[in-house]
Amino acid sequence: MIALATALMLSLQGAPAEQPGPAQQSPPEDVDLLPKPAAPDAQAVAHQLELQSQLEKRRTMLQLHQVGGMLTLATLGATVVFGQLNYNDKYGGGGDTGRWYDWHKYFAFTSAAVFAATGALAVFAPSPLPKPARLDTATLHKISMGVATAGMVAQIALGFVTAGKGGSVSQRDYALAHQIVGYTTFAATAVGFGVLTFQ
Amino acid sequence: MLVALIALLLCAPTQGQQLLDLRQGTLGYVVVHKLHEVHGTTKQVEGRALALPDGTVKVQVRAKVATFDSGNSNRDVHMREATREAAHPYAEVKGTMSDVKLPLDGPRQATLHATVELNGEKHPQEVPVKLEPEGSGVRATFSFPISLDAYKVERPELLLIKVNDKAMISGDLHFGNEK
Repeated sequence: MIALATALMLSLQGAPAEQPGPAQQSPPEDVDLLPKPAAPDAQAVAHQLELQSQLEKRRTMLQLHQVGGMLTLATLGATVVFGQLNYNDKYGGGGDTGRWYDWHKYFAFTSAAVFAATGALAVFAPSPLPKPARLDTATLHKISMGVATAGMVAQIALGFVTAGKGGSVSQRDYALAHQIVGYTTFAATAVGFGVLTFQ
Repeated sequence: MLVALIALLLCAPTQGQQLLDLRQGTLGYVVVHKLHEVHGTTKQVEGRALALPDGTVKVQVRAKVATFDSGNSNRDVHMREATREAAHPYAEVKGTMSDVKLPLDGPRQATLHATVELNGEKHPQEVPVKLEPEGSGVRATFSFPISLDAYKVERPELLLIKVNDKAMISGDLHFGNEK
C-alpha cells in the first residue's frame, strides 16, 4: 500500500518537470506548496460565528464611542469656555452678573452625561480577542481618559462645593481649583481623542 | 504515517527542481484615512518557492491575519473583525513567475502572476517583484495595491470617515534552500 502510494506520488512529482508547458500555464490557484491549514470542526465553526458576532457588536459600540467622543470634546470645550467666562464675570471685574452661570452649569451636566455614556460604550464593549498589555496608542488613550475621568469626578464635586461657598472668601480658591482641574480634564480628553485620531 | 509520507513526497522537489523555504520576512499593509495612515506588519510569515528547470517559479506566501501589528491593539482587533479573521485566518499570495533561473546572477525584476486571498476572497493580481541574490538564496521585495471593497472588507471608519478603498500590500522576503 505504501509502495503503491509512493509510486503514485513519485509519478505525480515527475509530471511538471516532464511537461513544463502546462506547468507554466497552470493558473495561480494551483500553487500549493505549503500544507493546507486544518479545516475547522463543527465546534470551531460555532466558536467562529460567536466570535464574529461579538466582534460586530464591539465594532458597533466603538463606532458609537467615536461619535460620543466628538460630542464629549465639543460639550466639554463649551463647558470650559463658559466656565472661564463665568470666572471672569465673577472674579475678573465682570460685575458678577451671573449671566454665564447657567450656561456653564447646563453644559457641565451635559458633558458629564455624554462623557459617562461614551465611556460606558467602551468599557462594556465585548472584547473577545486577547490583547497584549503594552504601551501603544490604545493604552495612551485609556490613560488619558482615566485622567479625564478622575478630573470629571473631581469637577462635579468641586463644582457643587464651589457653588455652595457663595459669599465666602474661600469660594475664589475653590473656583480656581475648579478652573485648573477643568482645564486639565479638557486637556486629558483632547489628548485621548487626538492620540487615536492622528496616530 | 502514510499521510506524512505522502506529504513529504508531495513537497520533495524532483531532479532539476529547487525548493526554497522562507527564512525570514515581513509582510505589511498600509491603509490611509484622511487624518492618518495605518501601517501594519507581521514577521510571522510562511512561504515556499519551487523553481522548475524551465525557469518557472511557483511561490506561496501567507501570514495569519491575527499576527499583524499596527501599533494599536484596538485597531488590530478591528482589522481582524473587518477581515473576518475568525473564518479566514490567513492572508495569502501565491502564483507563478516565469524566466527566473536560480541562482540569480544579479538583481532583476519579475512579475508574479498571483492570486491574492484576503477575507476569504480571491483575486488575480500582477505583482512586480524585485529579486536579488542573497547568499545561497533569494531576497524578494514587492508592493502592490488592492481594493478593500473588491475583497469585501468593510472599510473601518474613524469620525464617520471611512479609510480609503486603496490599501498597499508589501513584503520583504528572504528565501533559502529547503530546511
